[in-house]
Amino acid sequence: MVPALFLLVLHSQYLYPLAPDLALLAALAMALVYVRLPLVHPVLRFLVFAGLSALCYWLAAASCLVGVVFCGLFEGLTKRRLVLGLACLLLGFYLPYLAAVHVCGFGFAKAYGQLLPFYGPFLLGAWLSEIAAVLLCLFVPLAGLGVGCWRIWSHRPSMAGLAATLASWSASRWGQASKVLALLAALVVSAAASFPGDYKVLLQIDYHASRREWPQVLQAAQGVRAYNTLAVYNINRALCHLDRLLGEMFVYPQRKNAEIFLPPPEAPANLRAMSEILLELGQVNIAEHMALEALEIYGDRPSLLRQLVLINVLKQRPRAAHTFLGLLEKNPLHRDWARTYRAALDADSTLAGDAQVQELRALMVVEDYTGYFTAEELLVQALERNPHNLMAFQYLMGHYLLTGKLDKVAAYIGHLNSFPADFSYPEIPRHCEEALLLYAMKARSSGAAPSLPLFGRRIDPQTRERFGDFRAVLARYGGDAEAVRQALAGSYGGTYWFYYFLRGSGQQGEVPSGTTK
Amino acid sequence: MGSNACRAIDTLRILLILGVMIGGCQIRPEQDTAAEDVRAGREPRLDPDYAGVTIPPNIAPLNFTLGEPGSEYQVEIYATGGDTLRITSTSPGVVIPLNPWRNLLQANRGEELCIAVRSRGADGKWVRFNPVRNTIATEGIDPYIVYRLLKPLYNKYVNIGIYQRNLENYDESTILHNRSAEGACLNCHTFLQQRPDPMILHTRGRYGLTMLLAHDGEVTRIGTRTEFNASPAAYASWHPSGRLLAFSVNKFSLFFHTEPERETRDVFDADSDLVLYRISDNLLTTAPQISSPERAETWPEWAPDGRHLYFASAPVLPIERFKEVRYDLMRIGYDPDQGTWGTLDTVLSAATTGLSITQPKISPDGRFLVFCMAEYGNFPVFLPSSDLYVMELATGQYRRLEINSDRTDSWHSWSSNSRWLVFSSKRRDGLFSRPYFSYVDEAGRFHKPMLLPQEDPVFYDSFVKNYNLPVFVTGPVQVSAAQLGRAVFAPEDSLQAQLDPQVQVHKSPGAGLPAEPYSSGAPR
Repeated sequence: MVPALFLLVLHSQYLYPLAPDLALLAALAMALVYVRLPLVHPVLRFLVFAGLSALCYWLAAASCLVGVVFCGLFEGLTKRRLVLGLACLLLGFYLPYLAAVHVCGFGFAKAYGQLLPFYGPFLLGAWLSEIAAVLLCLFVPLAGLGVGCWRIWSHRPSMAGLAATLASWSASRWGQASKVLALLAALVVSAAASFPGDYKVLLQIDYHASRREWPQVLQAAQGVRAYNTLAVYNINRALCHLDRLLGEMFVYPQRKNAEIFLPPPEAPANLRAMSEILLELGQVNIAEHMALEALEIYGDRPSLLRQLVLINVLKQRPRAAHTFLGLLEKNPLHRDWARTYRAALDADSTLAGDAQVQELRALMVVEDYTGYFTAEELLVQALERNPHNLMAFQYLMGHYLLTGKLDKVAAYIGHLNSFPADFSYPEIPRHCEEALLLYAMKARSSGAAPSLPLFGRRIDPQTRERFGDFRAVLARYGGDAEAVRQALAGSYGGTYWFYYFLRGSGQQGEVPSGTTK
Repeated sequence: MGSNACRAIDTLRILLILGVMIGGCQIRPEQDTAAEDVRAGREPRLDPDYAGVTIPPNIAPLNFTLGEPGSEYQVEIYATGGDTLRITSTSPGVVIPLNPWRNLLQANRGEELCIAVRSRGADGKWVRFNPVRNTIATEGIDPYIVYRLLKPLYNKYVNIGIYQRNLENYDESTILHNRSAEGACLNCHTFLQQRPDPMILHTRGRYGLTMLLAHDGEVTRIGTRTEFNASPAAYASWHPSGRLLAFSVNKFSLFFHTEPERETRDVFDADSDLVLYRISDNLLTTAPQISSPERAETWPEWAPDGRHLYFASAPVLPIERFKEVRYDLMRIGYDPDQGTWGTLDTVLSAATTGLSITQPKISPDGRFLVFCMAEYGNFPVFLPSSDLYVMELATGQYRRLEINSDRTDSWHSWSSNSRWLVFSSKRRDGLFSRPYFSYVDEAGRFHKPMLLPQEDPVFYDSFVKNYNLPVFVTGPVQVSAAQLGRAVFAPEDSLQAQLDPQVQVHKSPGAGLPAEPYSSGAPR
């Protein structure tokens, strides 16, 4: 039961793989086989151990050492064959060295660490999980050591009384019940303490985004206490699809002073989402870049393969799409989808009847821009290709807001009229209104007096009024940023003004806004 | 006997031979028994396209998939001599047994090989297709190729390996995988005259940028960066003596295209030079003729006699003018005994062709030089316009090869007998490069290429890796992956190449500096 406790802690981490568990099982199996060997002669036992441990190392890599230590302790402490025990330990610990230097050629850290529960980036730096990983490895050897020591000590006359008392308590109904209760309590506490609730919400956000369930993305975002860049991307994407980006994006956390998305090389965790965003924007080639980077890093994941199928259809490479479909067909969960798609592709390699494909074709950037692009460049290219690309427009405005380019916001306000169905009301999206008021204020403070470029639209009088209040609070606290933050977070935390004045000028990162816990 | 009679006999002979050639694939007693067959009147569709190709007599079976509907298939493979192979299948995948195939090919060198196919349709009737005719070459192919397998990569790489494949069966083994090299990038495996030993390859990773030299079972790790070249060795060519290596030192940067019909990736070489590495005294040297500050020299290739070095050369231009960068094909004399350079000649200028010339590869018999030409640049594998061209070195005449496709054809390499060319082509799907083999006959004709056969007939339908830089070798590489991996892990054992003191260090434009971010897509 005790190892199960550690396993529970480890597997509550979402990313923790099964392979170290299987490797430990293989090591334990090796130890069990060795312990039950009917052989007596030390040389024969050692030879069998050598064979078993080599096989085990081949199967279980460094996890084999757990079994090696157990076998060594078994021989040394239980069977009192100290030389054999030592020989087993020496050989067992020599195996990784042998593999590193003479067989596989990899480094010592890998030779002595691979497939051990604490080797690899799975634990997300959670201290409880790291302790559980170490204890899981040490449990069998420590238990073996404990049992061995206990057998030695319990036979001493001075310990006989204590041993008998403990044995009788352990066998009693109370003793049994207390042990089970203690373990259950430990299981519950460990699982609760180690469960990464915040990470679960981030995964939910990503899950809903990958299924294009935009309201659910925002709903899940309400429960999040800590953000990562991927969540910020997914939330912005959901807001955009719901036509709420320019009115609500600063209600949610944003990366301060950062582009609305980062150009490649992108952090691996964001690559799939970036590929999807870029494809929706019409940047098929850059979306392909992101998807293929992700494929290299994460392997042949179905979500990536589907994305690459679509990209290759758009790039008029139906045969390459077939190749990705072929890989998808090997996955029983995606076989039906792949076969249906293949049949459609066989019938018409352009998928002219597919609404998604047609929509994307209308947005696809077809001019050959070359180089290494910033987010702004990618968005402007998309808008140049199709001035009615609503997503590109929203993202571009969002980008200018994030990077504090008020003049650019003002310059692009006229584009609202390119989307009469989406911006049918006479006002301007709230964050843009806020930015325009800031733009006018800054222009006046520098001596200019520009007329606001409203292109027939108007600014909500309430927004003007709130801006006056905001400025008054700002003036009251002067340069004390923390005091300003505390005073304004409640009423103005979700405004662009709050972001603009409190984002600072430091490194890119997340900035607290109204809903940040 | 009069001359007319002789002519008549010759004509009869020719007619007889033609009759056998034309009719040989049609008169099969086994098929004639099925007189009620429906005749399709055409050849069956095979994937890969193994119709009308010239086959090495020692190649593994050409397994294929029939692109014909049916519930049952009968395939007969036969030639003039030997036993007919009969395969019956309920699926369109045709797997040919190895040993009978091998015997059939060996018994029929220089003959025609026919593939006759019948398929049973939904109505229960058999449809008979015209036989597919291939030719078995007299000359064999080198038994191994070495290539790099990798997905279409950009900035990140976690799964790259260099492999060797036995062409006589389907055995593939790893020469070095980057799992054994701490995730390092592996590239540019280069052999001396198609021999598996010596071999060099380059690695780039956390243990440094280095060249691995495998020779006589030993692996030496060599640092090739010197005061002259901030960049390490890249494209290489062994001097036939085995004492020298010519290689380029380049300053590459990756950039992107947005036009969907183009390959997304592209490579710009901001500057490059050629250098020689002398193995005996670990000396790196160069000469102004091959390392001009005003020119970018790259893609070295020694002539088989070792007395000339061919290479590509272009003026150094900024990346904004990447479409204007077109490489000339150059040649410079070299005296291997004295180590002195001769005159520099332009073999073929980009001004003449209007295209950029790269990857010169000379046949071991010295007759032909095959090279790539593309609309610009020096990295043809990313350029759909890249085609293969051949120059007859005796005359200087060149022509576009008949084996090209409308997609990227590049990374070619000659067999040791100069009869086979292997190259990477994206003709199949436009994204993944696959190795194709073309037979080169005595007259210098390149025959329709065939795709590397695989045991699984549908292998390529779900294989998402590129075959990069396939090269022939006459036997398996003997050095183990562990030896190579250990060399990667042992920077303390690295041998640092020494720069020839007589080399004048010049600073090429931007040499050693990181490439500047470039974009033609800036908002206007």
